[in-house]
Amino acid sequence: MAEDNAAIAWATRLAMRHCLSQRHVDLTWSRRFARESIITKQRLLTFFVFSVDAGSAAAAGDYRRAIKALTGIDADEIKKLKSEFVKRGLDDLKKDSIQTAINAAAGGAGPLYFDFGLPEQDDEDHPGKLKRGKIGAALELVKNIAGSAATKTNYGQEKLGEFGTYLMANLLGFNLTDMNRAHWRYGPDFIFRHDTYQDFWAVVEAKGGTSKLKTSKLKAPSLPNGWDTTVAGYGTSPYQQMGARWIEFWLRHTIDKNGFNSSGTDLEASFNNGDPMLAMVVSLNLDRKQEVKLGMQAFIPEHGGTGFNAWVGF
Amino acid sequence: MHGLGFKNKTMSRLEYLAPKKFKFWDQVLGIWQNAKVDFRQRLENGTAKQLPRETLISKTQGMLIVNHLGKIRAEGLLEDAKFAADQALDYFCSTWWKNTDQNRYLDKSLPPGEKSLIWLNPMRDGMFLCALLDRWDDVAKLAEWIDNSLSPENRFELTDDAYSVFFMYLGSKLRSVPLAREAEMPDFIRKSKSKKAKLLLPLLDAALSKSQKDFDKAMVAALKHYEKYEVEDVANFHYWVAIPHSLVWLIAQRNGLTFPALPPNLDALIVRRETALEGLDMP
Repeated sequence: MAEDNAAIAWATRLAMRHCLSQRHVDLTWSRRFARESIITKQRLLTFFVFSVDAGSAAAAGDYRRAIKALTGIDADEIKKLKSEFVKRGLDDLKKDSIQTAINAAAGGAGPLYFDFGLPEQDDEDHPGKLKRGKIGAALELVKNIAGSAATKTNYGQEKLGEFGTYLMANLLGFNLTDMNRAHWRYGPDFIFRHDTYQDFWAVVEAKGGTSKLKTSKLKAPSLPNGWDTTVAGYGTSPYQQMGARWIEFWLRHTIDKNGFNSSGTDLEASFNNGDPMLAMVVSLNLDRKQEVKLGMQAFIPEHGGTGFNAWVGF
Repeated sequence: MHGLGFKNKTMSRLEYLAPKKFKFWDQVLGIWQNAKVDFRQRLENGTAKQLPRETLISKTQGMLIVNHLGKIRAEGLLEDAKFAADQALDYFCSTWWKNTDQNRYLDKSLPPGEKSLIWLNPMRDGMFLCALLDRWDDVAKLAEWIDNSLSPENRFELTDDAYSVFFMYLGSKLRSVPLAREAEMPDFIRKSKSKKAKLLLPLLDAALSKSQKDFDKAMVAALKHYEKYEVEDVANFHYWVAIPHSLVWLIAQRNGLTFPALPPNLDALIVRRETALEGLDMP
């Protein structure tokens, strides 16, 4: 029971950090989350308290330190997760090493994929068996608080995926900044900045469960004949979610909304200087094997300019 | 002030807009100075590409908005505004992008799959700056760039094509020869889901037809919606005010209309010559 309470506290605080990252109090998603759940009164109350706590907390924190504090310094699970990165040459998380690893893994042509389960722990009650680790248990509790029905929707799954994404990005040395999000609903889920290498940015999309990146066109508007029909849609590869044009559009939008914020102008400088960025998709599936999938790709300027190369989608 | 709940208090435009989260006032002038220096260096060494050009126009407009809000009056702002208006003209009316990797942002002749035109915000801001400075010949030059080959900007999930079409319609009205499809545009806007564009349309029509009564009515309706749904408390000032409506007001003013009596919260949204250029040497 005590362990459960600790896990609930861990999950709630992690969720609180997540909500704060939105840069404004956005309870829309929680209402939607709640609406999509088949929720009992008790669960609704719990979820409401959870949402209000998250939305009303006063200041954004240092996520990397927070996660370390929540999970314990150098906890076994963190070590196990990190070892997955080390195996692929990402122990020295400089941008060069990430790029080198990506190129080596994919022959320079495609993204680098990681696919691993959340760490498990020895089950003391059943010697020789493994049980869900602290991280998995905490995420599972978030799912249970919201109601399992919610997590069967892609939206609910994605929210859980975002919690997991924090963890992964932090393990890679990235943190959130004080920038405004480009849009409360659309665009990449996170734009992280590397703690040590301040001109190294990451554009990250979280996917929960089995949901995939959007590739189909949005509903085409009834434009008069003769106007392009490729507008307002994902269209071909560079225009799909996390495609080069899509990322570029949302980077520009983020830069615009942060024109008088020093983090925003730093991102703008990196964009103008053509600094390579990391594009990453994190997928978290709690329903079956508690697995995490990561796809990473360097996002580099073309022709030495400021436009970015198209890259292989996920 | 009574009836608005602000008894016995004279509130500034800034207080009406109440940007609660903006906490970077001490950085504004530094960011502005750096942006200007960086852009001029880029112009000199030939690295002034699309984003720095758009940013300079946007940030200059931002500083004029800050002046409108009565918060900061940057030194030399009038000259900077003229320079930014020149850059807006250069953005659209010269061929700085030819034979570079930047052509896809401005070359209308490229096939749809190869171009990613970025024209909506620079056009809005460029027209606004030129109109604010009473440079109507330059507004007309910008409007000429909006031709029959132009399509709405691809805004991905934002899907605000009707807003793009509104600016195509506005350009059509200000250029020497109207666009071939001008007659289709109002219907497209009216049938769209964009209430912002739908409310801007009668405002522009009233400004062009010089109908003071319709203009006053349309302005209140458009600003009420804009204040409720479009104003954003983010770290760029043009999200705090209504630039498209301010542009339409400048067109109306040129046509001899007078500024409508607005409640102070809506009044604060309109950036005007006498507020944005307040304290600067008027052109």
